[in-house]
Amino acid sequence: MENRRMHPGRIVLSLYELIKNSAIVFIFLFVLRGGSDAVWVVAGRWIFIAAISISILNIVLSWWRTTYRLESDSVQIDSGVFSRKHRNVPFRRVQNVNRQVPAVLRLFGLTSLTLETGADGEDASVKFPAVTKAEAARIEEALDGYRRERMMAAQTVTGAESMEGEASEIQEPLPEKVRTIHFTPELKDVLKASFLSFSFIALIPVLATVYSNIDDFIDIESRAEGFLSFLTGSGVVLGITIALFAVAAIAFGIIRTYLKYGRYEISSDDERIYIRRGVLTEQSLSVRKKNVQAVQITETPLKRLLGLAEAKLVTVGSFEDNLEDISSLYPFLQKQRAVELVGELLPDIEVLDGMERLPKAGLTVRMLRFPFIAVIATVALFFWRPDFPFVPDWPLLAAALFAFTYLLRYFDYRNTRYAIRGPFVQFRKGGLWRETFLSRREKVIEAAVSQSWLQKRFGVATIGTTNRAKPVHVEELKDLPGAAAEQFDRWYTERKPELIRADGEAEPWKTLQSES
Amino acid sequence: MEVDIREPEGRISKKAVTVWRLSNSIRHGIMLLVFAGLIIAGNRFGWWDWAMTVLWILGGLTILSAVYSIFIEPVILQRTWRYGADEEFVKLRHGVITVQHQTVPMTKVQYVGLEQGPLLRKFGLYTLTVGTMGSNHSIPALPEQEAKEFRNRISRLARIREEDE
Repeated sequence: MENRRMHPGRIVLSLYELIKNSAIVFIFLFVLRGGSDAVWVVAGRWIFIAAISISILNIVLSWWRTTYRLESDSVQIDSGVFSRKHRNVPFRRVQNVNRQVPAVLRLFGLTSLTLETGADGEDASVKFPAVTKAEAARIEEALDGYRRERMMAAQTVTGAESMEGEASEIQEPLPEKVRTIHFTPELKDVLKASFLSFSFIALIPVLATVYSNIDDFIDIESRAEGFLSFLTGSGVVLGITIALFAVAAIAFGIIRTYLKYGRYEISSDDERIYIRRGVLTEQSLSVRKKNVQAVQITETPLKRLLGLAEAKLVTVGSFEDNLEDISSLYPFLQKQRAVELVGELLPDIEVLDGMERLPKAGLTVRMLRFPFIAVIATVALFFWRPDFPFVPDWPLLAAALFAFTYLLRYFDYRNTRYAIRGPFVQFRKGGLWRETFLSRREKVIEAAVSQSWLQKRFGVATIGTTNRAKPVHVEELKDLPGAAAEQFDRWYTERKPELIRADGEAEPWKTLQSES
Repeated sequence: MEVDIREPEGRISKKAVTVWRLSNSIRHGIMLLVFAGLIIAGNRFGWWDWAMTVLWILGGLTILSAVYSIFIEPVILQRTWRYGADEEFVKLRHGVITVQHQTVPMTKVQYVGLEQGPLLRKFGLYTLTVGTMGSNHSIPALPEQEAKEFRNRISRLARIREEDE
């Protein structure tokens, strides 16, 4: 296949970023110090102009010199203006694919496409900063095509020698890509989301910024004083103002939430899960089901009150900062629906019912642990002795802190549950925030059992799992019975041989690769 | 009641006790020197009283920690360290107050390496590091022969692969 360049829109995008980043320097040198003849200002201007010219030249040249080529099983990228760099990224290393359409690209009908690999460092992902939608689809198809071929090859190999359960599935004609849409929010979901995300609180910093900006030009403060006394002068006016503010805040919250969660779509086909969201800036993510290492279900106190929960996929590929929370399935689902959704999307992971509770000894150990934070805070309070109006004296504060600490420990004890069954492991914990973690044995890359001196006295232990993610996802469950910890260790170490084979089968290409 | 988990057999070198004693003495010596310097400077320049109190407390804690980590900890740590590898897992067990059992499947091992700092070199010992996709684990103070054998054994069993998924 031929070498291609990014869409020229790439240049526009880079220029836009350049302008955005250098605007402050420009304003400083040419506007604020516009009249200045000082040597450093004049020199600064020339340096600025030189730097900008070089940057623009660099943007154009690096666009010109960056080419990519899609092979049947990899993508080749050449880049670098003077020193050339060649990268070869095999498709099999691609973990997740995500697209992001910022407003600038949207104007040109373009999109950015990122292929995430499991690697570390700067080569962790392959980014196509600006390609047409058709080209993005072509790249994704190349990925899919490779996968289909691989399955086909796997079929001929396994068809010949293996008669296992999985084989029959592969024998069937290759699945057409049928995407099932699992979830799109309705209006009431968006309303609930905007209420729950407390987006309207975001209005306060926005107003504060606007206020301080205006304040620079007009002396609001003196005017505001008159305004304030006008407000407080009459209860009716004050009431109306508060009501207006509340309406504005709620409207703002709904709009903000709508922009983020309004067009949400969770869909999947046999191999991948697709999440798309965003009204103005569109973001989408596709994850291979096999790459989902674990699922985490989080319930904040408020969500618990309303019976909502957020399910999040723990995956291998890393995300850029602002994409981090896209791996979450819609954060404002009914808990039951969230659990169902996990089941629908990931046939590999099962949500177990009837988890075990901690033994009484677990509670004892928790209560006996030294309350470091409370003690240190008490010592600090003792010396500092805060003296504010409405704040009670330090002994009362310290007592409240201790009560809170122990209450949380009790809640945590009450909430904690675990289940280790078949290939699944499942933990739930948390005092006010409640988190459930689900994974499979093959996805756990390390297991740990530990027992402190105190735990030994009461016959309880701590177990822990590590899953691949970036950074690694570590889960720990404290104070479960010693026997359960032993069971956990056996569960992990005494895999039956067929289970290991099943693990291998999950990636037929792996054996294929080593045979060829 | 102690958790009953099959323990691996391998033990680390007895010389580890001496190595740890030396390294902990050096570390605590430096910390004590720093605190002593700060306290002298504080007296000289009349720092706040509370800052001096904090310095004295930290200095005292350092002395306690020195006694523990020079005279007590190395012996117990050396005695309780166990490591081993069977066909499927690398297993580690260690810890003085909290006993840790770690299990790493061979299939997830990404690399094994040997390291040797100046102190370890003096005693002919190596630290062996087993790295997985997410973290790494060290077995401290193995004699050269054992360290190399264990490294070769793991790299043979793990058949460190080109492919990751």
